[in-house]
Amino acid sequence: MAVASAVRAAAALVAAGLGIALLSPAGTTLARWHQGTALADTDISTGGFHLTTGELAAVRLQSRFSAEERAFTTGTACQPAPGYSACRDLGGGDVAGQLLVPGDRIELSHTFTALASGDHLEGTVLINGKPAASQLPVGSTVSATVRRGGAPVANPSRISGTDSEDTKKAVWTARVAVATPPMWPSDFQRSKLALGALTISVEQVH
Amino acid sequence: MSDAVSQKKPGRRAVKTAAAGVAGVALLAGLGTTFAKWYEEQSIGESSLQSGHLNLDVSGAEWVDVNHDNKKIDAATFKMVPGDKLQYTASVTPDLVGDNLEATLKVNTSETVTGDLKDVLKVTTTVGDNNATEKVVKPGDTAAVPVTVVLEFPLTKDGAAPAADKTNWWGSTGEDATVNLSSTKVELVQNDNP
Repeated sequence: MAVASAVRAAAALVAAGLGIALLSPAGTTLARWHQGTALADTDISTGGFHLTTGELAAVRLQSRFSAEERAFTTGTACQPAPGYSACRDLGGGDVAGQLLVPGDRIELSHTFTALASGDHLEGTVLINGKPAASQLPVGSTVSATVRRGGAPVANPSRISGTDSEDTKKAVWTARVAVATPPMWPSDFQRSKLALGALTISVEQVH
Repeated sequence: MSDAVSQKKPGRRAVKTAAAGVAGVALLAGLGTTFAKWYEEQSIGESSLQSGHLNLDVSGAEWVDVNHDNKKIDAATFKMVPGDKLQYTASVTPDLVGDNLEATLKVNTSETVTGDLKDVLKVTTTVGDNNATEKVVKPGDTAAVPVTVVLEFPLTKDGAAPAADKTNWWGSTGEDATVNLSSTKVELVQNDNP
């Protein structure tokens, strides 16, 4: 008799446990029927722009003064462009240590990749030198040429989510030339020029 | 010698009798009842009771690109961007059997957009006519019910035209995210039994 009572008590506890288990966290019963079908076996993704800056491939300094008239702190001699007297190829890390003088022209070459992902995504890639020019002596000019996979393209240049995979993988090269005027105001002496203000941007075309 | 044998017989009979008695008692005790009572039984119905069922059949499901002439798209490969509007359509035929069965047909979008997309993507659903979001169905309601789900990635944060200063642009918000279609379900859920 005592054993039978224990068995009944255990059965009651199990039943109570199942009853609790059938209740959802919200306290409602899950005992109703329901049937559902997913809208799709897979999910939909959103696209986006992917802009990845590469490396500062080369920096070239064109000088209106000859090597004897000024001191180059570092660099390898190169062929001066028309109108210039000296040329130095500098490593990316050498730019900060090089002292610029009036009339200098810096040519930067930077690689990057830019692609659009999306069935209806169109965008423009823009190399913008205006922020840098605003910090340079009046009369300075900033120009940029852009190549995509070695072929010249416009600045700004269009990209599309429907570009071929090869086109999307192409490496871009931005060549930016910052030319300073022959005469600088004296307050530019011993100042730092923020060439890093050159920007590459991608924005959606609506 | 023969006396000795004859003297043992009464003892053996007694043992056998006792064993039989004990076995009988054990049988009765083990079953917990007696065979001595009468009983009789009758079925209370001529047929068995059956449970009903609740099913739905989804047909003609497809996704289209609303802003591009409702062109049919493959949800598995399509990538949404700001300005896109996609629509899912399907016909759902309920199949309910049960004397007191009533159910609600709706689209569960609680898990459709999560993370970054939760505050970006607009999800709207309709079930049946009149832009309702759910429909009560009963046994006998076998007409197909049109169901739609619209996913809209607004062009800008405020719905206005893109501002020149880009203040209402999305920036990178919502890029490379996932709309959980596999967690979005057309559901038929039994209502409380009145």
